Amino acid sequence: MKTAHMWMSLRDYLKNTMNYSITLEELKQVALSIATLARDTVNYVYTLTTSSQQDLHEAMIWVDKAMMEENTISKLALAIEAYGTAYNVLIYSLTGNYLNAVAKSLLKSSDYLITSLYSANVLPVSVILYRELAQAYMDSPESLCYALARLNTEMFTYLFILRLVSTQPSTTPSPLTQTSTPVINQTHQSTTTVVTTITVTMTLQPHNIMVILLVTVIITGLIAVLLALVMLSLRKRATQSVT
Amino acid sequence: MRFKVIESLFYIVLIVLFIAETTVLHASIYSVERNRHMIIVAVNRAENGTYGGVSADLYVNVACPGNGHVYVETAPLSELDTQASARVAAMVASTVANTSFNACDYFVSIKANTSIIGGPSASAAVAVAFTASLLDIPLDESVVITGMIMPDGSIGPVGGLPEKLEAAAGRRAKVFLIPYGQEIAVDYVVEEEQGTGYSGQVVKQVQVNLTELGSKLGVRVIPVSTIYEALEVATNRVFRSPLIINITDILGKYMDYIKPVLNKWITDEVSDINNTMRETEYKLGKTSLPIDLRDFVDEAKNEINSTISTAEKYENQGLLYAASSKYFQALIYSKWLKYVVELYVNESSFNHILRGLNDSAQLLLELIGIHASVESMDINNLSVLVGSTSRVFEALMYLDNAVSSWRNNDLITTAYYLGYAEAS
Repeated sequence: MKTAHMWMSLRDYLKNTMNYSITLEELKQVALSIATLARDTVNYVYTLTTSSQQDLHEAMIWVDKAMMEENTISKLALAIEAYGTAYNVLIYSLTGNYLNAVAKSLLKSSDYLITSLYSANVLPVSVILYRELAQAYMDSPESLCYALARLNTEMFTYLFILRLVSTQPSTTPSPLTQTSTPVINQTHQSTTTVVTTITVTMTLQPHNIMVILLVTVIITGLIAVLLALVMLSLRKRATQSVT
Repeated sequence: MRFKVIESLFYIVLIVLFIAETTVLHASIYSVERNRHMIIVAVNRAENGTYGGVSADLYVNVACPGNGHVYVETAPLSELDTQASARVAAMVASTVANTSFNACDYFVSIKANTSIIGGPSASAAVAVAFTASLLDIPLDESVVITGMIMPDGSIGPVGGLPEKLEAAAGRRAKVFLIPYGQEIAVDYVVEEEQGTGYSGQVVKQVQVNLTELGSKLGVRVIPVSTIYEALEVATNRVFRSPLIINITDILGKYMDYIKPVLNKWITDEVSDINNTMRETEYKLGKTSLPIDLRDFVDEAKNEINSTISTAEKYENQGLLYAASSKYFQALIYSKWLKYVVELYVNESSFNHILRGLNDSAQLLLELIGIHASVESMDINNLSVLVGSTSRVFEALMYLDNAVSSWRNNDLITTAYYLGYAEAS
């Protein structure tokens, strides 16, 4: 656990640096959202790649662990790991013939993402370190893609955090968070599982529609009772007038 | 009779009321709804097996406030990747538009007159249309884009570009945006071939210059690498990409600040590598290894030396984190070597090693938990805790793998996983 300890040593060093702050409550929401984001990305990559790769299998394990994890930091760490791994699989499985071009596109994206983070006064130390790593791999497109995919997913995650925290996030978890990511052992089995997951997602009703239906039923019910009372009184009058 | 009329009226009023209320309430779910339309192009397969370009219509709607739901409708039905890519496109759009993903709901409708082959190539168009909706910017509908949206906003490569370009021209497109690096496309043509005593069809590979093909068709072909560039063209520059900061300068300042920590990391790693190698050499001197393991030891030593050389090169260039990463790699090799010898000499040590590493991981997780149990935390602190936690989980995963390998009597792989876990 050498590097884990080394990373912790950065904590003391950066104690007094000024940066964006996040509350534990916000962090809980963020962890859930990032885990969902990672799960969706893993599913996206899964639908696009034809082979069952070891790395994608690993990403699926990370996502499942992230969805089940209760500790906030662990949930977030597992989700980011899954997200980054899935992105790497996407790059290597679909862009193999265009690695040079993809590396340049990733570098451009990286510049935009760093600019956005810097403008928001958020530049986490991990971003700085991973960008330096990418710098070292400039003449090797394959390694550069690997380093940039990791860096960009990390930055995209922090931007996602910023948006969630700076605008009022929804407190209702997405129905998507209630489904689990398939863990693959065999290609054919897992394909079926993914189909099931997405079908469930698409058939779930948004809670807004349920609320509307409930309110509609209540209002209509009240009006029905009122009308029934009017009808009863009319019937009574009709009976009286006949007698 | 009169009562029956009143009763019928009662039911009619009830039905009308129900419909009216649902309509009124439904209309009030979203306070903002914005629609955008784009032409998209795809490839379809004809009955004779040839491929051709087809166009379709993409309609998107962004409705806020929402819950981050993404709804996809395709006619005819498409493959799953269209749905998955729409979700990633929505996430990218919300980031570019600087809005919270969960603040809106996203609707995609794709209508085509013919069956199209599924794939992610419409996802860049979906991301552009979503972003334009979120930012309330008009789109130039004579711009057609094809490309795979990547989770960070990059636009990745797609296939069938010549056919798609022809389809775009068929819809009177003026500009066709393609992924960067794909200006020269590879196409396949079927040709009749006749030789002595035989005749048949052969598939030949040809290169197509899309810019040239585009000018023949009256379409300007522009390569784009990110959604930012695509948006600039598709909105006639109403959308402007952010001005990129001087990244080298900014990062240089930060790196200077953390330089002492990185130097300490490197010193620690080098010292750990040296100690591990000394210990291993000592054990090797007292052990007679079988030939396959001796070969492995030699290869591992060469690998360690070459990795250290690369690390030193980075260190000399002042790329300290890159150097530290390379030393970390060398450290993994040295630990691997250590455990190969240790497990060969004493097989029963496996459980002891495993327990020790597991205990260290759990202790570190507890420590991280203590640091994380605060009311609020700085993003730097968060990034450090997340970085550290990731490495502990990585170590735990490798320990699980080590157990599986040990059960399969695979000493070398077991040693690798143990080495990786210890270095992580």
